[in-house]
Amino acid sequence: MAEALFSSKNQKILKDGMWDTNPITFQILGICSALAVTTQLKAAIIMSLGLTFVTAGSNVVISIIRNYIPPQIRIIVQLTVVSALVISIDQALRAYMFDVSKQLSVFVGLIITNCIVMGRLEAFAMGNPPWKSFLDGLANGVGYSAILIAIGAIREILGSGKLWGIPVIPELLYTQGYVNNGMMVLAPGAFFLLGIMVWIQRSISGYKENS
Amino acid sequence: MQFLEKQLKKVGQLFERGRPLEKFYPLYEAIDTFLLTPGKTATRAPFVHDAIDMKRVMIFVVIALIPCILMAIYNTGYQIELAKGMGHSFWGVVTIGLVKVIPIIVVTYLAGGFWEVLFAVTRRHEINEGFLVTGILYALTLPPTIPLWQVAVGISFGVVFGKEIFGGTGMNVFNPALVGRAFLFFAYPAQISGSTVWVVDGYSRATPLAVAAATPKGASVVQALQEAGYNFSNMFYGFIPGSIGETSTLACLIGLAFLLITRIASWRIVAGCVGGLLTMAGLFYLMQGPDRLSFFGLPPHWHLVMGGFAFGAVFMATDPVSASATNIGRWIYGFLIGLLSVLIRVVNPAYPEGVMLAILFMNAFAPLIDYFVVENHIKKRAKRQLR
Amino acid sequence: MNTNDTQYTFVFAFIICVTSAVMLSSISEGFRHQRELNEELDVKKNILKAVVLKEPITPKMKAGDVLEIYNSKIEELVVDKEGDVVVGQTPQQLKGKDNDLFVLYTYREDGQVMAYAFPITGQGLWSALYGYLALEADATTIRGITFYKHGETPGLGGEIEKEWFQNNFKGKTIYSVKEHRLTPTVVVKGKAADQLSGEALSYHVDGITAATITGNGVTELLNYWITVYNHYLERIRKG
Repeated sequence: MAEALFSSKNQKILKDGMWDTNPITFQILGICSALAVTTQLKAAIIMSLGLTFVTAGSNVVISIIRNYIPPQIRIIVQLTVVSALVISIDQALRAYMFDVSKQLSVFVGLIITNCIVMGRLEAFAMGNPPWKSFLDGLANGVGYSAILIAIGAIREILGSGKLWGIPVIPELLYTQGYVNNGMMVLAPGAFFLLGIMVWIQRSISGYKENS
Repeated sequence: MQFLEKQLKKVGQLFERGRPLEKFYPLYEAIDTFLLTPGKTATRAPFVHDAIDMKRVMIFVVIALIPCILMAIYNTGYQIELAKGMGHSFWGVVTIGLVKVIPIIVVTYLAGGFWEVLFAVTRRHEINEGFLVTGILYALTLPPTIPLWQVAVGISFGVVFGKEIFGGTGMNVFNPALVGRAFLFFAYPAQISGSTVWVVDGYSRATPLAVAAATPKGASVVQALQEAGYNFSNMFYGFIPGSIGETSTLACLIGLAFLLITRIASWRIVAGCVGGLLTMAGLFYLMQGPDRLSFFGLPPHWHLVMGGFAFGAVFMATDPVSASATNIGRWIYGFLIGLLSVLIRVVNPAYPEGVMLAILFMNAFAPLIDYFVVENHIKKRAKRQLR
Repeated sequence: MNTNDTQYTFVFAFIICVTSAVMLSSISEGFRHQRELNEELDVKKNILKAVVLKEPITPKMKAGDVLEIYNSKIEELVVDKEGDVVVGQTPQQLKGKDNDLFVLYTYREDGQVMAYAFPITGQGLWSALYGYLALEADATTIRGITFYKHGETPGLGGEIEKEWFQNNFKGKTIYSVKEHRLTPTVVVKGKAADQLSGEALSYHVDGITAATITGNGVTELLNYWITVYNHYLERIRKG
């Protein structure tokens, strides 16, 4: 019965969420927020933290009460738990990181409808013990975060010539005629970057479209 | 000729499987089939018997573009001359034009060619002459003042995202040249449609479309255009500022004639475009009034010679890969391109020209149009059978 | 235990609802003070930016310090469309109400009026623009302008939030003393100095490349709001 905290099975759960079945590049979930909040690195990181917290937290809560949830109202119960966590985060951001919360605007609230969260609850937490569920939620959150942060960094550099708000493109380039890429600030820019990421991740992990 | 063939064969051996230059076979293949008719014949159906293969088609399109290219060079020089107010001879003007236009074309081919070869080598498929056409089309849709590094970025995007990610030539949903241009349009708007376009030594002149869009309510568009020095004939011949290759409707018409005689372009698409444009512009013309945008009052046939419409309709919309493939579908596809072009031109305040966006938009719908046309056809036939 | 039982389902749903409701309301209540403070601070910072303080606030300043500066130097007034100050009304009471009362801020340094400021809103190309306009004590010269919220294209219309654009307005006059008429600032297409000369330059500013319509929006909203507040400003000019 007693299983090591990081047994090989549990390690596989971690690896799956972060890489092999990465929620963004493999499952193509959570795209909406990946497009919307990645114009700047800072916003992307805060959003990543928020989502990771919600996925891991709701996975644990649902996993604990999984045997008591009446099947007919299972989705509503999941939604209630997720919403409660999301609203808490939103309130905390508004209180202590007002600038960031203004920038993220509705997207924190929209974590509720983020397919990754509900997906993990239905697919994993409903049938697995709390610790495993926690690892699964964490891994998926981290997998999501890695992509989001990478896109956020690239978009901020190409779109506004800054990283974390600090100018990184030398002034010399601008005087030589370099211009920031306006599309990177718009959602389509993220869309193309996301496409490239999916491309790269799938060529490395050897994904095959099942026909 | 035989000598050339022999030499090529000799060199070719180096590129065969297992030989040192195996990886670069696509490069060799491209040059070989470019110069000579392919030595291989298809061994399985479908066998298509025709005097021209895809390479010849592409060469013909390039030939059809020659009037536009010549006009691009001359007009670019002419506009710069006009701005500076110096009286150069004909050849002087041509030289100035060449200095502006040639670097854009060269950079396009270098940057785009790099990606083309890279993908051909890694995927071991052939280099396609389609890029010859894509490259020149792309270069001709750019303003002459565009920074060269942006030219390179745009074509790279066009080749990779417009074509290669779909699997290469023939698989692309969108016209790669337009994808490249659209990328520049959204990424660097100030350089491609802003007021720094056509600024030569501090002198700038608004394009006809910009003048028309900026005409205040109640004023006459035609009058505003004439005050800015534009009339129907100089817009038709193309002695106006604009993207380098698109200004001359006449040059496009010559190209169109060539493409129609060689049966490369579909006349239905072009006719559809013109029909759609005249319909929408006609509707606007009827709706004109003191409270409406004054752009509504532009006579419909003026729309034909302004901006990049003629160039887009002749060379971009007719691209066989990204257009509809059924005859009825071609009519619908062309008609909607013309209609949307005018709609975007006249009503959208941010985008002075709508042809590029209209064609890209309809590229996305082309397969759907074909699908319904075919379905409809099948239904009709089935009904006939039942009776 | 039968989780399919109807009674059980109701009880379970009830417990979940009550638990999360209690949790959420306590969290919301716990953060409320801090949250409201932030929202208030955000508005006040924008006003302070528009009036151009002698010693400008820095991002590192603590919330309390900023509020103290605001409270000691900014006075909030409510004026009606005739330019009369309405006593007993506060800007907070005006929120969301559609009436003919307008908010006005005065900035004082050592009792001396330094600036008058008021909110401005209008339509740009894609979105509504929100900002503040501040005038010098003569009610004629522009002291500062800010746009704090908009949805214009970054790099084009979005440049209105940049300092270079806002600095263009500083020192422009909204009233011609010679001709006794209002001269709301006009955003031109291109460079103002290339197209105009003389007195006209005192109320025309450079436009943003490739953002003519956003510029026209700014022109229109300035024209509108300067006219709205003119009755009050007129009294100040007359002294």
